[in-house]
Amino acid sequence: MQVTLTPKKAFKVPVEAEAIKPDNFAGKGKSEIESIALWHGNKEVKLGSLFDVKVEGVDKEGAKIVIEGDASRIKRIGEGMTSGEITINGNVDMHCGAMMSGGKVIVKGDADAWAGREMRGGELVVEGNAGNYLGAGYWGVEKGMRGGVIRVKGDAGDYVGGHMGGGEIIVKGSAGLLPGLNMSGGKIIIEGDVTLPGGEMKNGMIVIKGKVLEMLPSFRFEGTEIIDSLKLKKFTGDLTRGGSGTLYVNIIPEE
Amino acid sequence: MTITDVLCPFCGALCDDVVVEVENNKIVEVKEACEMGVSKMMGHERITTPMIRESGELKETTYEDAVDKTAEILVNSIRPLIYGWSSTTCEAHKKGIELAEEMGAVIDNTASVCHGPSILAIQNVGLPSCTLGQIKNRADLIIYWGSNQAEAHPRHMSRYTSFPRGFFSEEGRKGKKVVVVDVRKTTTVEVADEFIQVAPGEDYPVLSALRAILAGEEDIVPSCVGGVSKERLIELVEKMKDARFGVIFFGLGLTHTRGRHNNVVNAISLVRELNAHTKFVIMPMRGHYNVTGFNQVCTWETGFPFAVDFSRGQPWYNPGETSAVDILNRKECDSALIVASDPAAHFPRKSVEHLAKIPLIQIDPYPNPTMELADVVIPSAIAGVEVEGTAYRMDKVPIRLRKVIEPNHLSDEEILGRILDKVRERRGE
Repeated sequence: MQVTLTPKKAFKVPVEAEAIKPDNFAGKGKSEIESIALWHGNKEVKLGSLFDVKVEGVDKEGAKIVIEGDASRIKRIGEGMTSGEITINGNVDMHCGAMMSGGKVIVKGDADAWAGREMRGGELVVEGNAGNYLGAGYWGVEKGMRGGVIRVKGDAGDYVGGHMGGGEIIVKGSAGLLPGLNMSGGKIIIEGDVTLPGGEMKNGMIVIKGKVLEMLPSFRFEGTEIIDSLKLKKFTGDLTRGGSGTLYVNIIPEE
Repeated sequence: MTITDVLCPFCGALCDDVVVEVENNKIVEVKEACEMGVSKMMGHERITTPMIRESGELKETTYEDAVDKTAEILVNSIRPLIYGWSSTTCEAHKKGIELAEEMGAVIDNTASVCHGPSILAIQNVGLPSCTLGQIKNRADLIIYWGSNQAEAHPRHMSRYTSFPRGFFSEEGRKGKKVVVVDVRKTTTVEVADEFIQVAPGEDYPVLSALRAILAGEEDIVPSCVGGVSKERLIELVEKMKDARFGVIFFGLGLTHTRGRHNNVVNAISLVRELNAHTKFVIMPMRGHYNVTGFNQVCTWETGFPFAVDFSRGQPWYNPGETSAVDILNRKECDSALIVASDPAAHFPRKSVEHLAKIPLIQIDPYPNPTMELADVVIPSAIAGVEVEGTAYRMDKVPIRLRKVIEPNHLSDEEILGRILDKVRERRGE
């Protein structure tokens, strides 16, 4: 089954829409989907009052959701989903695919901050740029992303994979400050440039194929290795806390 | 009449030894306080009556009408923002949080543009800290990092750190070392023993280098980190380890430069690790006299210290998403109530532009740039001068503010209580 949601207008006040996920739509008809509760500011509203809903077919599982138009003020789409697929034909607001454990989310435009936050499994694809805290963990949680894959075709913001414990993040473009901050497992590959990768990392692997604009002073150089047919410098750290993470870098500033 | 032991309601040092001379319900002299404190307590231009904007002009009105208009604006909003709080009492904070919960509003205080990053860091790694009294009596190494307290908290050094003689620091200034770490030679440097100049935005790598040296990994540290030579960093680590009781006070030079809360995490972690060698503590140099108080009250009322979003009934927070500047920059909120603060003078231009577009209510004793944008202006009595109540010093010690003269205006707490009643009345509760 496929459910197409078209926002009735461009929202200014964000909509909190963790209820928009295949698990919640599977086996439901148009009117049932329209009566699902969402939050718009401090008002609880029916999905049908904010979106035009089109339903094709009815299946008990594996629902596909397509969001047409501007979702740049719709938060938490796909949060906690376990199966099915969501395609967002445009930009999307914060927490998209947060805590998902299965299924697939494709964002055709840009994803705002916290996309794939504390993800456990499944796949999140951002065809545009991703904001800050991609695959990171909420304040005070021990681990961010623990499983699954995040692919970003454009750039990502600061703190990619913060507190990450597992899974994989691949950014085709550049990322900002401190990617892999405090990570304890998993793998981050950034093909573009970054600043200060691996702050406080305990374990896991970071590969920076572009330029590292600034290196932390607390990593130990271990020699060179060939990764994906690139000759990369291998460092371990972060030795501020006796970390044993691996950081592969290509071009670093000269001392 | 001479009133002694008055608290100064200006900065987070919350000096409690001020002497005030009062004649005919007017303060004629303020002694012991710093210039800023004297200026605030002596008083200056005030908002005299409540006002409501009509066709572009603020027109005088009554408290009753201003409160009613405020309630009308709030009840018709779906994402109201309530912001300010750092220059009023904890009693007013409690009322404000009750109002935010009732309204399903977002409530935030000035910490979100100040030491908010410190609070996030503390949530991650805790805070090895103590009271200012312990520092006065014990500290022999005092480090000010990214904090020009000589101008921001003028009596901090003379009351709590470098100068006073304490129980275990009988020699006073002679027995203490003062180090300033900053990006430029501030006024504080003039009264310090040592100045370490860090390149702007380089605090995080400098702190990482100090931690690596402390962990015995000095061989991997490059010859220069963030504009500071390796020798200098090794010396500083030695100095820290040799201290009997060390303290780092940090300011916005750490919280609002590149890395933000992560700089603070790094600094706190350094202090935590120093405790394997000696006694070391760390403390944020909180700005407004009761900015700490709001975070305390908000935490015990909601579980979160600032930037709390009540829109879904239960509290939730995510600074960067539910903090005032971010909500304004994204043009999310459809009304704002500002209490004891002046965002129009201090927020980024983009935020202020949105503030100017939405219905805006201001509660404050003094006219300020926010008033120029406000649709409803409600004057209040000055907390700590005309109203008594509780405030928290930067070391989280609660102290009772005194009332030294009778007010001509309602207190923030009373105004908020009246707004809350009106809101409930309008919603038929």
